[in-house]
Amino acid sequence: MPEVQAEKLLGELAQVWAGLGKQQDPDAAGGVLRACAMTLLVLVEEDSEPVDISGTVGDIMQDYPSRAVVVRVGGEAAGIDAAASAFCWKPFGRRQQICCEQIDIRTGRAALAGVPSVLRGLMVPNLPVVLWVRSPALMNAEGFPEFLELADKVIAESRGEKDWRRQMMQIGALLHSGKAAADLAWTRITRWRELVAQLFEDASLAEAAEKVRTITVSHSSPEPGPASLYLGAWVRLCLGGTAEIRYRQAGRKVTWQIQELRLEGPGIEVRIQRTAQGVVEVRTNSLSTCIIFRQLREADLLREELAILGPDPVFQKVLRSL
Amino acid sequence: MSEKNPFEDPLRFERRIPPSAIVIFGANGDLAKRKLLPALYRLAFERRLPPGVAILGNSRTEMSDDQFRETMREAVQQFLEDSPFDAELWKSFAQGLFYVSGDIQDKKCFAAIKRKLKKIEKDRPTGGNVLFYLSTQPSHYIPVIQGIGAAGLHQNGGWTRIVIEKPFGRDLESSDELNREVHGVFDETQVYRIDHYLGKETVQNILAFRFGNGIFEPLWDRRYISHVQITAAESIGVGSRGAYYQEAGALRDMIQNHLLQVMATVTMEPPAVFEPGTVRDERAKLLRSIRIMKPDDVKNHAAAGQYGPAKLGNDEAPGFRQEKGVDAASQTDTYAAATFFIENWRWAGVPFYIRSGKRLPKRVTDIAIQFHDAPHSVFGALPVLSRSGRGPNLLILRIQPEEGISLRFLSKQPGSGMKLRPVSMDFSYGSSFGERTPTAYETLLVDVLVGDSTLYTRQDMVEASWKAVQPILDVWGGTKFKFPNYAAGTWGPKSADEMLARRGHVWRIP
Repeated sequence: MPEVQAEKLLGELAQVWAGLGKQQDPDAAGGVLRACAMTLLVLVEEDSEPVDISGTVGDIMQDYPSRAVVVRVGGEAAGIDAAASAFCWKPFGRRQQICCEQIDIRTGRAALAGVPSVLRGLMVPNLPVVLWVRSPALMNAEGFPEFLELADKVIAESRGEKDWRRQMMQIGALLHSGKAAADLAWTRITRWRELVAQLFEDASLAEAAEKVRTITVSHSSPEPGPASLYLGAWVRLCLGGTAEIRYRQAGRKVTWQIQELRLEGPGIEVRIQRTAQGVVEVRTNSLSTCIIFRQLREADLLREELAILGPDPVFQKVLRSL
Repeated sequence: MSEKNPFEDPLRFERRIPPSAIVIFGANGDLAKRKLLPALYRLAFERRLPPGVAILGNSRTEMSDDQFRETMREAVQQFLEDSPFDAELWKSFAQGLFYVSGDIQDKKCFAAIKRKLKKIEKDRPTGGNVLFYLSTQPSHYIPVIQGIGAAGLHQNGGWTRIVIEKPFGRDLESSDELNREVHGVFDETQVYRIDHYLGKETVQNILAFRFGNGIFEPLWDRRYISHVQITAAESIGVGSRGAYYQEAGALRDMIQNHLLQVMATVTMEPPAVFEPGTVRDERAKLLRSIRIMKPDDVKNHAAAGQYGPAKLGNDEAPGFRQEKGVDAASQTDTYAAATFFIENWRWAGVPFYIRSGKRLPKRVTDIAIQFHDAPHSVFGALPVLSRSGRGPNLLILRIQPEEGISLRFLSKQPGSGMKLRPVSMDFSYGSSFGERTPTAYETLLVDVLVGDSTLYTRQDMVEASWKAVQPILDVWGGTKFKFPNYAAGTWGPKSADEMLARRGHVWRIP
């Protein structure tokens, strides 16, 4: 029997809502609006590098209002501790305050297996459940399969992990088992991919696409890393799977960053290169221009993934090809 | 996205705009500066524009390419909403801006545009695709179209499209004339008549609400709906647009186009598939079903108003006749209301009350669908719900400013006994989708560049909506009104209230 009960937490949430209603300024005719589009389960190791999970969750809430359940795992505590709160904001120019729910659960590794029994009662009925494994190492923790059972989609990130190849394989295994799963390292390259697709709207480039012989991905870290591998493999697959992929270390000393993508062959050259902070230079046979790549935050990546709750066939195909 | 593009990923990528050149006539005007260029820049910021896109401006003002770029930079910086201005991006964006000065009445102007387009196509991969955008005064539409035709600009190797801003004529006759001229050069499939109301997210959401859900459509007819009120209110006066507005009036400026299109969106039959042709067919069919008033009907089915001066808070608001550029004896309607009926099985007998006005108490656009009362009240007398009458069930589709949908229904008041109280169930667009919504111009520019005409109006739709308002225009044109007949800051003239009172209805206060 866990020390924390779902019913009690839901009762606390009800009190939070009643309190918010009473706090309202009588002149604020808009009142409080309770918004919820999904349950967002977050699994994070508390003793890893400090991360502002609440900040990221707060950012996401404004686009995907959810009941967020943040499970913080740290130390060897044998018990589970939980608290409910609301996250509120007033969109610019609106009278009404919008509120979402957040439940924070703290536990030790030893007690993690007991958490899913609490979570089962906390899922918002009839809405999707997304599990964001912020600390991918927890995918190997005892009890993780029970977390998986709760989720319609699992989001993790292989990039940044020492054992990133293993993480990629784990995500591949989830996909193979029929679970919707995403790797944020793949999400990071959407803008690179979209830019390539945009360039090949030019009919003359599209016609020359089959002439591409080599795909070169330059990366900042000593080894390519998942994003570079994904990008190279995706381009190759799109071009029919015959071009040669080359990875090389180049550019600024920034961890895990793609520096350049180059597609070359007889009569065709496409080069997309980071030139400065946030600026990407594009050169093709007939054009040279600059594009802005704003700095991606974790919340930006999650927003993209939360928009896709079903399978992602392109990602699956690329992952299978690696 | 082009069929040849091997890099397609429709799940994640936005619709791709093909390489193209955009020729803006009236490029030094207000619309271009306030709406078009900021929207195009924003699309570039979102990486939605292809890198080689070219924008060629034309107006009478003498300017070099660089001067045009500088003018547009100032405009974009001033009018860009919800987005940062990025100097690096602007540098790259501005490389695609070009300018040709010239008078559109002069053939040489179009020859110069042709030469410039040829040069642009050499330097940038536009694929010969050209979009012409008429951002000029309406009186210049026909000369521009004739100039394009005479210079052969519409035959350029790629696709050619033309965007025409409203008003599409001043009445049915002038609208027909404009259409004849347009079709002398362009095929109807190349013509995109822009009604920016249809580009608003919340207007598009009406289609999602109606046809994406199964529970509302069964109630969406004369058996369950008592009447519908469509309101588009502005709190401001005509400001600097006095001279233009004096020629237009509320009926022409709002009801003939925007609000009849909104009404068609609310009342059209479901299309078989969501494609431009099918959606527009259903809208057109609905507009053709609007009962055409007889001259004698106009008095009881329409109300005209003009605002007079009033004290608003601490400020003295001028009346319409005191506004700059307005005739002191002007007969222009700054408020118009009309009752329309749709002659089909679904809507027979249901009144659609539409009103639009300047200097009303607040800026609001919404659609209120009033359902019939329960056939028998088991709880005795129902509570008084509001000024707008008894019916407890009211569905409100809010277009602006707080976009969303709310449904009013009765609920038991807590405590002993069975006392009922109205409550509201709210969906707020901004709370469930916090992401920035594109402006109507961003949406519509992407649509025309990818060739999606769903949200643009077609010739038969324009004709049908002119036919619906023409009898009112004819009668009002021959009437001398006792204007002003409503004070600034009120909800319009008494005659509009009387129009509803004849059927036992009352305007709701939005």
